[in-house]
Amino acid sequence: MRNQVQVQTMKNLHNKVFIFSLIAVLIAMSLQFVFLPSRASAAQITSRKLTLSTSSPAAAAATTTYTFNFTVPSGTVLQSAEAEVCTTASGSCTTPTGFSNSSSTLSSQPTNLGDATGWTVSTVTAGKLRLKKTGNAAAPTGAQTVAFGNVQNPTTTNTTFYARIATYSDDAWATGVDTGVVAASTATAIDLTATVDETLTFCTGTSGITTSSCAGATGSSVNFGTLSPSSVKSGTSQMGVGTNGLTGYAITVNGVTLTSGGNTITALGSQALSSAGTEQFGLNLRDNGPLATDPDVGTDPDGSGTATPTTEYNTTNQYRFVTGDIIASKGSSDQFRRFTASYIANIDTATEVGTYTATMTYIATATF
Amino acid sequence: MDMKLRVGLVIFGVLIIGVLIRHPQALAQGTSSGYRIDESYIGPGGSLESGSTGYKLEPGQQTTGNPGGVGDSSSTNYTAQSGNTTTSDPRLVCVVNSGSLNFGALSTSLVVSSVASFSVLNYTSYGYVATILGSTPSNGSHNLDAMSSTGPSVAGTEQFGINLRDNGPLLTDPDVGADPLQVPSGSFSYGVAAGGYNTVNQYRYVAGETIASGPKSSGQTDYTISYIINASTITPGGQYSGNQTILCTGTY
Repeated sequence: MRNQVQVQTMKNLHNKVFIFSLIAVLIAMSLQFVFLPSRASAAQITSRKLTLSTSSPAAAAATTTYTFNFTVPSGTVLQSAEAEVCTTASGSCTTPTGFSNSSSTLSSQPTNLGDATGWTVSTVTAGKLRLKKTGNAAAPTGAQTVAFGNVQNPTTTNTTFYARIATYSDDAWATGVDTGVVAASTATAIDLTATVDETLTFCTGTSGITTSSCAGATGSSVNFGTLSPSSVKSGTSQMGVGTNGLTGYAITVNGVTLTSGGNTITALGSQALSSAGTEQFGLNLRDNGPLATDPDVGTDPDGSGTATPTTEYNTTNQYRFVTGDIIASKGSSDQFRRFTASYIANIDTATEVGTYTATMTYIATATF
Repeated sequence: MDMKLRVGLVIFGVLIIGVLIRHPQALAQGTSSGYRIDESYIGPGGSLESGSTGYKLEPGQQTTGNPGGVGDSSSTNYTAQSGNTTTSDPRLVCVVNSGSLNFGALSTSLVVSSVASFSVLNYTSYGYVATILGSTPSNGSHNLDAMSSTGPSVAGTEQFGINLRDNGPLLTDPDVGADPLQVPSGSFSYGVAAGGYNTVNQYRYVAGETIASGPKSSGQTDYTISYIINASTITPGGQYSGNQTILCTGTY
């Protein structure tokens, strides 16, 4: 009887230990949710990065594109997603100074987030770049890309900020699926300044100017000799020019036609051929002749530059002289260019006797 | 011992162990193949090292030159750091230390140069890239010619280029710049200049290109940008100005 009592007592003890163990297990299982960190229900978004179109912290410049690249780990169908921009990666979120999503747009439809079309941006919540598609049916695949345009960067220089990315299975950014944080930074813009001194090289002469230099320029007179009503007389002078003027240069010819006292030789007011026996004074900038009626005079423009004569002075064997005319020009900076001015003089039988002279003044004007 | 008692004690023990083991799993999200830890700052430091040919685990401990007690667990393209002062948050610091550069008067016979600097630090990441953005300085409608191919400075030829190296001092090359500096040392920082911008006395400028990168989580690297400008005889005269920005992007 006593042994039976002891056995019964032991059984009761074992039952109590068993029950106690089960209770302890249940308590332990409960406590782990209270006191021990547990795996969050949202999984980590991987391979995530935020690329800004510029790191400039300039204010009033809601022009930056924020491109998010990431890979969601789950295949849950998503209907909304967001990137909350904060000064810290975790904890309560403070929006960085100056950041604004108020005018943000979707630069393009997201890639691999779900349906290919139909996603729209939401600017309702400050500090959160958001998009959604109600009723999206396709699950995310592969790597995702979401790009928001017209975002205002934080306006503090050299400052790190964070975008807390989250995806949601509903269209109200409420039922979270996956999360991940990326860091980005503004950076001070580097301002660069420099100057280039303005230059204009210009020389005239009757010889010595080469295709690259004015150094040997010499001479200032062209002597036609004795004019004749039966044959043309000609002569040449040279010009060298080059400039770094932003919009190039122009050369004008200035003066009066050949003059002797009160008598003049008629200037060619319009472009024309040389005609012996007719009073003519004109010039061009070409390599003329050698026809029987035309003097073999002049040289085409040469040198590294690419400036060209004006149309009225750019036809072989055609001449003209109107004071103030632009005879050559270039619309941008130009390297050294050599021009040869070819002059012709004709007289008729009534041309007054005398010594005829003319002074041609060439002016090169560069625009910087 | 009674069977119920044994079963009860076993279940109790197993579950308790399971509960205790669960905690570190929640903090370190590791994957395979290869190796991956998304939050790569792990707990307090220890002193035991372990490793294999392809991977090394070095828990942090405070030593001379490593006051933070940060330990590196690294392979070719990934580094996880552990120690007392680490955080699980991603971190990116991208600081441009230079605000404005004045090159003065350009010359057709001599190169002009200047430097700017920036620093990048990027933790808990799979590396970063630093990109340079912006047009070359302009004067009206004319932008200085960017060196779209890597090449030397040539006086008399219009050029705008940069690199991240310690250049010169040859007769034709400016003695300008500095090589990337790892802070505090190459044991913790791994930033490098990108190809095209990593050859002494060779310059290049293509807006939008990567000029520097860190192949893995990296401490601070200080970069010096060496700028060179040459003008030609037809470089339009006048005042040139422009601005550039450095864009740092980390992958986490």
